[in-house]
Order: sequence, then structure tokens, then C-alpha cells
Amino acid sequence: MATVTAHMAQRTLWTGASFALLVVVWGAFAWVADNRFFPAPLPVFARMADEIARGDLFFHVGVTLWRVAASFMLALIIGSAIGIVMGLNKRLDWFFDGWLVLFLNMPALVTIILCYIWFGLNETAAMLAVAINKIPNTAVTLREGARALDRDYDEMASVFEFDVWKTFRHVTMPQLMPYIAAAARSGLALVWKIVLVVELLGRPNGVGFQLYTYFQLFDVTGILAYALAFILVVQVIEITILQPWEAAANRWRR
Amino acid sequence: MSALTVRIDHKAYALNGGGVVAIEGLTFNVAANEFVCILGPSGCGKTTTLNLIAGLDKDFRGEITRGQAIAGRRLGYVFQTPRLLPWRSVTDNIAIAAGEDMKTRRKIGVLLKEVGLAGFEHAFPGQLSLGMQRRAALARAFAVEPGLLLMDEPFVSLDEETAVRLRALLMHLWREHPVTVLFVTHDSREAIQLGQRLLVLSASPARLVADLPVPLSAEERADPAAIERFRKEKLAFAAEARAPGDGAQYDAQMDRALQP
Repeated sequence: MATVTAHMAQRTLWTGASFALLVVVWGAFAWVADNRFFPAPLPVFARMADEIARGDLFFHVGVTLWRVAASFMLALIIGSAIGIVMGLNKRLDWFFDGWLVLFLNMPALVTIILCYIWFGLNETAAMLAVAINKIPNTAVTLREGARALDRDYDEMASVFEFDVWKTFRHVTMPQLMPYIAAAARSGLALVWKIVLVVELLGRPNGVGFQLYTYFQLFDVTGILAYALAFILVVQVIEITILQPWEAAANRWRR
Repeated sequence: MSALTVRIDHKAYALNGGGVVAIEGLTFNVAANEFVCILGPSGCGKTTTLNLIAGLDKDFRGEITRGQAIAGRRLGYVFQTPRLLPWRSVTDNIAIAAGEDMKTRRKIGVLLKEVGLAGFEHAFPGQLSLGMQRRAALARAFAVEPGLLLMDEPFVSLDEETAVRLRALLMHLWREHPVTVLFVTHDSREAIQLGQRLLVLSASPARLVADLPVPLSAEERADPAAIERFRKEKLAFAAEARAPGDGAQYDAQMDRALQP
């Protein structure tokens, strides 16, 4: 136990040193460039503190986070359902595979523009656009998961009279868990980037909207302050929610 | 009183576009609380027979009827691999099958002690040896208080010492919790040691070659020499009493089964 803690402390030290170096390099380049479009770290951090003090940062990050969470869940649920059905039914898989490829290769921008045009510049259209972008990826990942389901366990469940819910909870879900985790991981990274584009194109708030505002003002310090803030938030979610959840789900592995 | 009536007229598999006949005209009865061993060469259709009886495979011609003695009672199945859910603890694995109420859980605790898994109730299957996983699978099958217990070579790929101990455990459980057992194996010694009756099957497509009672006492079953004697006397005869048309293939398979 002591060695594990020592190991963790050492690793944290290395990570910390690495980030410190990054900030120093950034500062050095900013100093050499000496340009107002390439701000040094300190002014960016100061701007972050300022935005936090005014309450703007938390408001916009909060709005964006809500959009990310809602469209992420929507994409995960619908995408998983489509993927599992396709993985289990060969004929449906053959039939809809082409559609999946089509949607996989559809540029995010096209979906976003079409959603705004068809459904109006509103919250529903925004979240739908993001979800549609993510659904095909989730479906492809979960299809692999459903194909890999072990029939031996189904036979066991059938012999011991598991009902549908029991089979789903104890037999199917645990086998799909690694695939859902993989979809969630890559999904979070993809979704929050698309959400910013959606906000930039047609929402009156959120990090994407703020970035657009600062872009028009050529305020690079503001842009970096918000980008950094959001990266931090996503990292916190990854460390405090996704990683512990994955660890708990994989507890049984040796 | 018959617990199980099996009549499989024809069972074929689709294989590489063609059809392979797995079982052809296999008929037998099993009495209530009888311990019957199905003995046959590898790949002869023994597992298929069990899966048909379990209702896992319904695609065959014939009829399988559960008699009054076991009608309405649950089915126990010990598969060739333990088939425990690796993401659930030993107790949970059994409770999911047998019942998750407190009373059943207490019963499972007692059963786990009986099979020698006391102290491993909350271990995950991956943390156990194969022999211990097989004990857990055995406990699961008995925990549902089955009327009919199907066992598909449940002790293969164990070292002989562990297999011997597990066979003794099985006999103990069967005496404590009477149940009709169909035990599939390709090992004639194991079959003689465990079964009250042997059903000897031919090579694929499976057909009944011999239906032999095993009138050995508990002491004789524990004695390798007595088992060897029975093998020489009765099974050599069974090998000759093969169904017509089976020819050399069956002889070779049976000879292999009879080799020490």
C-alpha cells in the first residue's frame, strides 16, 4: 500500500513538472513573440480569475456542460440501442450498414446547419445536431460489443430461468460495459468539441458563443481563458466520474 | 416411475452448407432419482443430447417428456466449462440462479460450505482455481433444487486427484439431495464409478449400443480394481454389441475408450 501511494505521489510530481514546463515554454514563446495576439500565461490566468469573479465563466461553462451532458446521454442511449440491435440481427445489420457508413461520413457542420434550418435556432435543434453526430460512432462500437456476446452465458441464463431483466442486468450489460465505456470516452471528447461549434453557429450563450464573441473582438486572451477553463472541466469529469466508474465496472478482472 | 422419456428420431446440424447427422434413433428412459451415465466417444452427440433434453435446442424430430416425478421442478445443468459470470461473486452467481432472498442466500452459504468453498463466498470466479470454479458450478446446480440434473463432462481438464475428490463430492451431494442425474462422459472409469446405469452410445451419429446396470457397491466403486474388472467384462461386450453398420470406426473409438 505504501509503495502504491509513493508511486502515485511520484507520478503526480512528474505530471506536475511536465505541466509547469509547458507553461514555461508557452511563456517563453509569448515573450519572444511579444505580440498582443499571443498572450503570456499570466494574463490568461488573470482573465480566467476575472471571468470567474464576474460569474460569466461559470454561467457559460455550465450552459455548455448541460448541452454536452444532454446530447451525450441522448447519443449514448440511441446509439447503443441501434448498435446492439444491429449486432444481434444479421439481416438488420446488412440492411442498415450502408446508412451507418453514410452518417459516419457526414460532416458535423452539415448536420448542424440542416438541424438549425429544419428545426429553428433552438435548444432542441442544437442537441439533436450534436447527438446525430455521435450516434453512428456509438452504434459501431456497441455493434462490436453485441457481436462478441458469449452464447454460452445465454444458454446458462436460459437453463436457470433468468427473466429478461435478470439476463440484461447480470449477463448482457456486464459484457457490453467495456464497449459502452469506450464509446463514452471517445464520445465525451467528440461531443464537447461539436457542442462548441453548435453554440458558435446559433446559440446566445455557452463557451462556443463566448469564443465567437472574443473572436470578433480579436481578444485572444479571452479565447485562451475559456478554452483552458473547459479543458480543465473535462479533465475533472474524466478523473472524478469516468475513471472511477470504469474501475468499479472492471473490479472483477484480475 | 419414469422421470424422463427421451426419443430422438433425428437430429442434424447445418455445417459448411451441408447437413451432418448428429443423432439417429436414440431412445431411453430414466427413472426418478436414478443416476445415469451416458458414455460415448468424443464428438458423438452427447452434449447435443443434453441440450435437446434441456430445451436449449428445439430443432429435432422426436419427443422428450419429463415424467410426473420431475414435472414442474427446475432444471440443473453443470456445463463442460463452469460458465460462472466472471463479474459476479460466487454467492451472487448462485443467488441469481436460485433466488436472491435472505433465506435462499443462507441456504447457499450452507451449500458452499458443503462443497468446500467456505471463505470464498465473495470471491470472483477469476480468483478461483478451475477445480474451485467447478465446485461453485456444482453448488449452483444443486441450489436450484432441481428435479433433473444434467452434467456435461463436468470434471474434464482437472488433474486426476481433483477429479477424484469432485466425484466423491458429487456422490455425497446426490445422496444428500436426491435428484435424477444424467451424467455425460467419455471416460468409462468415471462412468462406472458414478452411474447406477450406463447408456453406451456409438460414434456419430449417436445411437444406443448398450444399456447396462452397474450393480456395484459403494466400496467397489471406490476400488479401482473392481472398476477395471467391470470394464473388462461388460464394456468389452458392449463394444461387440455395436449397432449394425457402425463398423470399424466405432470399434476404434471404443477401443480407445477402453485403453488404460
